[in-house]
Amino acid sequence: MAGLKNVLVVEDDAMIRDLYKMALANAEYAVEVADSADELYAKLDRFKPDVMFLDVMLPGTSGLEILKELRTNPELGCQNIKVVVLTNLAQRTVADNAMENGADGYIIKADILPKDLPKVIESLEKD
Amino acid sequence: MGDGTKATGKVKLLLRLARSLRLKISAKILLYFLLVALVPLVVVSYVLVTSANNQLLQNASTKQQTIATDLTRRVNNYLANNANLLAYTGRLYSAKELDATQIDNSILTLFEQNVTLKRIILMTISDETGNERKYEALPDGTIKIEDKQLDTSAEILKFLEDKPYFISTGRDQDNSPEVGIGIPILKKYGPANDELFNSQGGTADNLSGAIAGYYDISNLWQSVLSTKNDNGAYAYVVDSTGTLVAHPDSGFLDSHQKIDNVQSVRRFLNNDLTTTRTISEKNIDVVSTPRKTINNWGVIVQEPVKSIYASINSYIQLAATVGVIAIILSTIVGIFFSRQLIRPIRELTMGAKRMERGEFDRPINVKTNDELEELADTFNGMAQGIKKLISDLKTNNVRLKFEQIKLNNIISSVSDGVIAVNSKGEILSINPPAAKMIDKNPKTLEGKSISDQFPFKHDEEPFAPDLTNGGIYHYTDLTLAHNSSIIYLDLMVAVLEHPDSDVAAIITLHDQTASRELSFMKLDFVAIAAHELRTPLTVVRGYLDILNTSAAKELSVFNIENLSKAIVGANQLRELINKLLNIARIERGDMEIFIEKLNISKLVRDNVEQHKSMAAQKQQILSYNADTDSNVYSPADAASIVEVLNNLVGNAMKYNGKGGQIVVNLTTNDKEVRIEVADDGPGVPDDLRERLFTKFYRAERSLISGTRGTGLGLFISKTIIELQNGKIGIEPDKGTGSAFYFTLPIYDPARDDEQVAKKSSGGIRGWFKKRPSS
Repeated sequence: MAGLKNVLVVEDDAMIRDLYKMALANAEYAVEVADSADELYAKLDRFKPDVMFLDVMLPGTSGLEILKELRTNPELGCQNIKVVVLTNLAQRTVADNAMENGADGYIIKADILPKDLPKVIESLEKD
Repeated sequence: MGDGTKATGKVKLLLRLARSLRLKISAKILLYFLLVALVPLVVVSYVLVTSANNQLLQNASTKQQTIATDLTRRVNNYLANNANLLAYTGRLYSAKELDATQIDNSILTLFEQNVTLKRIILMTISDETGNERKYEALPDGTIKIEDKQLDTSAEILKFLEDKPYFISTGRDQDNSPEVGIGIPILKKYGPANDELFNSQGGTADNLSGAIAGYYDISNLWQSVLSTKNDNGAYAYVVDSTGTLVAHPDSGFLDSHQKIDNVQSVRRFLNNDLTTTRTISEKNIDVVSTPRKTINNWGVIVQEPVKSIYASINSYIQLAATVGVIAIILSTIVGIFFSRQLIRPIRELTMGAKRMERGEFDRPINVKTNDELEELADTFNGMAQGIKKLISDLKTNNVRLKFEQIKLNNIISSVSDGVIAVNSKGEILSINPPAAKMIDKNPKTLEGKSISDQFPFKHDEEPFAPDLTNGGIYHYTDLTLAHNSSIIYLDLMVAVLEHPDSDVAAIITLHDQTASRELSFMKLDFVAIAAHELRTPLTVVRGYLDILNTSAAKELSVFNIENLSKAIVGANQLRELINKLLNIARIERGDMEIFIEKLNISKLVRDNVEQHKSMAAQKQQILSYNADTDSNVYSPADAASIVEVLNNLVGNAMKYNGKGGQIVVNLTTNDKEVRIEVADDGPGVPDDLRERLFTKFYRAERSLISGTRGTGLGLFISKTIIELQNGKIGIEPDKGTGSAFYFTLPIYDPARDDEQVAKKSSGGIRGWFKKRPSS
């Protein structure tokens, strides 16, 4: 629980968003959610996340494009935060692509249980 | 015979000529017809004309002889009458010396008796001394008396000596023809002298004088010479020396005197008095008859041959007219007959021409009841045969066309490209799909080199099919770059063993681009489908978990059980989706395994424990055996090994009946750990063992026993185990049940530590942390 307190979940599916928010809130993280790139960028003005769970398949601007923007645009202040990509896609190329563009890992949403998300954050803290 | 041969020769010549003239049959028939009609006509005419000619000649001769005899008699009579009168008168003065008055009456009587008598000369010898007296009396009664010496009369005497008379011809002062008849007067007349022309004539001793009369014979000659018949016959007179005496043509008479060299005259002079064809004094072809008068004159009657034959000429004219008419008639008739004869041949010719034009429906109509009709019938039969043949050919042609259209349609409708090339690799023919691969019009490609137009590549290297060795070749995984896009191709090249045409090879281009894309799309479909399924599954599992962790204490035991069933179902659904995704990954060579130092013995034992409750439900006994109590480690991916175990144990429970036994054995040696799942169920038939580990295989019996499954488990398990350097298989048939096993390597720190460090999931399912970059 050391440094990583603020968590931002970017997910267009409301139920998944709620599940993740609920699970993280239960683990006493400060959680904010966004359902699109626009909402995300708006949130970033007042919320500085330590960890971001970023869905790949978003309406409009895709998660990968957001990731690139986060890593390359200093104004967003997210160049060094932990970013975990959320996906249900089967292709490894998506994951590989995310890793290459600065993701710290990825989650298969169907395989993980929301209650395991804090463990993921803990594993990131080990670095 | 000679003439016959000649005639045959001529006919042959004519026939040859006719042949060389290339006459039509009708003309030939006409010619033969004319020959047959005319030859007898000509022969008959010739014979008739010849015999008629002879007859005419004979008739003419007879007539001529009659005329000649008649004329001669007239001349003779004239001369004889006058000579007798003179002789009678002369007797009166025999041995007398007469005075003028005495002679008057008797001499003048002579003038009365013949008006043509122009003058009379009477000479009397007076005495032996030679005194003589000449009396010249004229018709008007004047008498001139002249006394002369004997010597003047000597000429007369000399004339008359030994002759009963003399006759002379000449002309008077008016140039009229005259005849002088002289008669001797004898001193004494014997009895024989009564007959003047039989007398001996006077001798000098007996001669007492002479009497001569000069006659105008114009009339006589006129009557003689004017004798002409219808044929133009006429007469002329010559004396015994051939000197012309009288001639109807006075001009001719004036200009000719001696004509003894004329053929007809010479005949007379030669005493040939027959009627003969000869040359006249006017050099004309004549028939002439000479006759001799008492004084040896020649009366020559003649008529031109031409005029004799004049009558035959009209006959010949008639014959010619008849001949011409005959020719015309026979020509007409010949034409008619030849037409009749030719008509069926024409009909045949026209029929044959109709056949040439392809009209077989109208039969040739020849009803001649002969060979021509037979020929026509044969023709008609032939026409029917040809018609049938043509009809068959047309039918076949239509069929062929139909087949061709079908083939063309097939070739042009196939998506495959088809190219025919010759031995030099030049394009002979190309179908639209092949040309479309390089965006060209098929026509523009003909004759061009296939390797220039279709730069095939295989593994990035240029490729050209071999066109030299006969046979059928398949080339796969070729590419053809065109306009920045790449076409993936399979080629089938059929190289002809013995090319009998220009075509050396047929190349079929099968465009695999679409099917390649399709196969990728299939995987994407599976992936996308899985993704879409995963999203609601994520939600379901999330909320079930919340229920399970936070709300369980509020639920009844029954509902807790229901909740756990829901969780199991959700997890099964998750596994199914993951299997599908795994298959997709395997297909694309994309399977990801996260190797760790796995406590395989613990994992197997736990897994067996987890399945025990399920086995109990099916009244099956599930047990675990290990040849060691210590932990066994393998470099392996825990989640995937769990998947394999779930599959093998699940299958054993599924295919085993109630009360069945399932044993999971773990055995080890230095190198590997072996996990075997054995059951005493129905077993696996030998013939199915091979196919067990292939995709979507499910034993038929599984359908009978009503078990469910995807048929993917063993295939995925095989892939998982082999990816982790293990082996998977089924034990040979042991009589009862079946035994599936897999092996994994024993963990070797020297070998596996590094690899494990790279790939670690940290034990959280679904979370993949980025590996530290090297």
